[in-house]
Amino acid sequence: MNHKKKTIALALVAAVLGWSGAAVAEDAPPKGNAQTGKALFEKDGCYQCHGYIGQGAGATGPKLAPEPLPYDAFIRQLRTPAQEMPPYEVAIVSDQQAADIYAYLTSIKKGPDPKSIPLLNN
Amino acid sequence: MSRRERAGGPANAVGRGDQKARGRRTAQARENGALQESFINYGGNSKPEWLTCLHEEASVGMCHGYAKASGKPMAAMVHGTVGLQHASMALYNAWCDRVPILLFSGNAGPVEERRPGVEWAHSVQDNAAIVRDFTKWDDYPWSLQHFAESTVRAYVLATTPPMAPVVITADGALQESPLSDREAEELTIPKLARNRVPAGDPNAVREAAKLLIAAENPVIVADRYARTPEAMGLLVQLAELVQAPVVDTKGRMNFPTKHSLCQSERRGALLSQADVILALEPVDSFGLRNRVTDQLGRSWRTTTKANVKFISIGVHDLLVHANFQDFQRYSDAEIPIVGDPVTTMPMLIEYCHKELNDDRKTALGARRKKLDDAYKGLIVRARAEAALSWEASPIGTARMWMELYNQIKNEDWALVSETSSSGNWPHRLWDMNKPQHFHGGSGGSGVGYTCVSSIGAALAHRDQGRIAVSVNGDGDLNMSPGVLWTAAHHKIPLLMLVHNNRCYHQEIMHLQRMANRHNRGVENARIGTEIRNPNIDYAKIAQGYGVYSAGPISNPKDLGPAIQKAIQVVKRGEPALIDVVTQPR
Repeated sequence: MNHKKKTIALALVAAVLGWSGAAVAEDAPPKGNAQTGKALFEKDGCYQCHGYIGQGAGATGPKLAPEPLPYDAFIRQLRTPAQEMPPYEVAIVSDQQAADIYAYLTSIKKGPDPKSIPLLNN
Repeated sequence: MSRRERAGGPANAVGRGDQKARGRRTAQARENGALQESFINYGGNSKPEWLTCLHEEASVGMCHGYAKASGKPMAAMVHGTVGLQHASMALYNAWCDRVPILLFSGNAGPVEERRPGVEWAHSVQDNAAIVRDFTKWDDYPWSLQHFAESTVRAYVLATTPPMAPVVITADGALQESPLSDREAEELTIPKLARNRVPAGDPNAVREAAKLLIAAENPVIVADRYARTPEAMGLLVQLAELVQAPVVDTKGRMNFPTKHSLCQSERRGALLSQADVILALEPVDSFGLRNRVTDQLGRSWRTTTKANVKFISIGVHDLLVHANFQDFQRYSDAEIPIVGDPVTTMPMLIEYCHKELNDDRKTALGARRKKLDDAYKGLIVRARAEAALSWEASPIGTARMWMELYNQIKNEDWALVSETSSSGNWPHRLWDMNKPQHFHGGSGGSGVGYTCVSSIGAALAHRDQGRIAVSVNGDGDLNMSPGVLWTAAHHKIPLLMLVHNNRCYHQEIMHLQRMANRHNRGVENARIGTEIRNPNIDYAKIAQGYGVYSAGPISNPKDLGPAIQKAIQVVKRGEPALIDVVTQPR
């Protein structure tokens, strides 16, 4: 397949996945397992750009947790990401695995209030 | 007595006529024959002082850091051929970073002068050829008079902007042979005359001033701008006069971080709304106006307004070579000014003053109010983001940087490492307002720069009685850990925190993108990028080199006390290392 055909094919895949993401948004987030999601978060390399607890890291990746994006926006970014994030297609991260990762992100507790940290206020 | 001893030595020649610029230290790597023997015996190891390095890349990298911290070049001496090849990566970094270094490399020339064995194997016809693409000048002197003149010329060329490394090949016979009486009588070492640095064309600068004063949304971008102690103050004057935000791309310590016009974190928003952009010694003008997205299909788009006026002031175009491409994609400018931006700055400020009337002052004052509010927002955001991983283990990079700052903020300190690989937290939350508070990056992105350059810079700061601190990537430290021994041996005080994320992180992110580009998953991206199994114990490595150490530390609560202890070691005049197991970035 030449480069142009490849690009068209990938665009079609993205379009289909985008539609799937939109369909999911009509329902409640699928049930996921936070413990499994945590393992997947590390295995699939999410932590490399977003940190082990999804805190984000400047130029490499934005904050994912606490208070993650709504599930439909999360799945859209996962499948057809904006900016530099690589797309994670179903073949790489299944819908159930995506739900598990989302459950992990949802389970992450809020950090301390920055006003309560002396080193950030001196 | 050798030729060199009678002449008084090339290091003295380098500094003659300029006591402050005297090349009094030489980072030495392995054997250097007669010059080395003369320095340590005839010169008494004081002019210059000999620093023993365990790798040529370390010796040149130390020169790189020293030059940026002290404002004057240090010399390195390396073995011919093999030593120069080892030194080449560090030379390339210094070339890209526009930093002066004097490099002396030996060679055995005439066949009857060569000893059997390695001198035949290592002799070359054109010693400097392998580094000529990324050095400013080189010479192979054939007499001591020639050597004296070329060494002074090399110093002048290296320290004239655009600054860069230079190479002198020191012939073996010239180093070893006796000096005739006549040669001794006639030998003169030229006085060092420092070149005046060129400012930009006055007409173009006046035009730039008009644009800046008339602009509704001007933005100043500073990259490798601040090459002198006065540079930051001049930029503050200009920014306050124009009431323009400054985006510091961190090539040098360009602008005080607690000044409300320091708005580097708003780079994208500011540049996209700008009607005039002034770029000072820009490294990537194209990147200021365009964004490349590295996804399944690689694409780029312009991110600035179509009618933005771009002004650049810099000397980069005065020193560009063909093969090693030290530039980015071509980008035009409405007013491209070739000249040193620091030298040009007083003229630009004067012309801006002339353009400014009372009405315009009122308008600019209103703009400043909005910028002040935006700055407050940046601080709130930075604190909130820092808090997110405050209790995390592995330790968050914000916590690491702030624990470090807490121990040094009331001292006379210098930060001698980059910040961009660990969240830019110092630039976001520390009060950085002096030239020694930051020295910029490697230039060529050659891994292994930080550990060696930081010790060279720490040497310069030791002389000023400052505490030097660095945060060093684990991958970087593995390139040249032997430099820790040099720090211990020569009692160079530096507190080094190892930002130990146990991988070559830049590479793993790229590999993830490539794996997904081919739709193969990212599980295997860690192969060839992670540094695990076994995990490296950097504290033990440091101990082996005779350096005080602590760690590995994974619990954030343990970090502050460990830094406090290590600072006491540094205050005693010794290096210290703390292995901090961290979040990736």
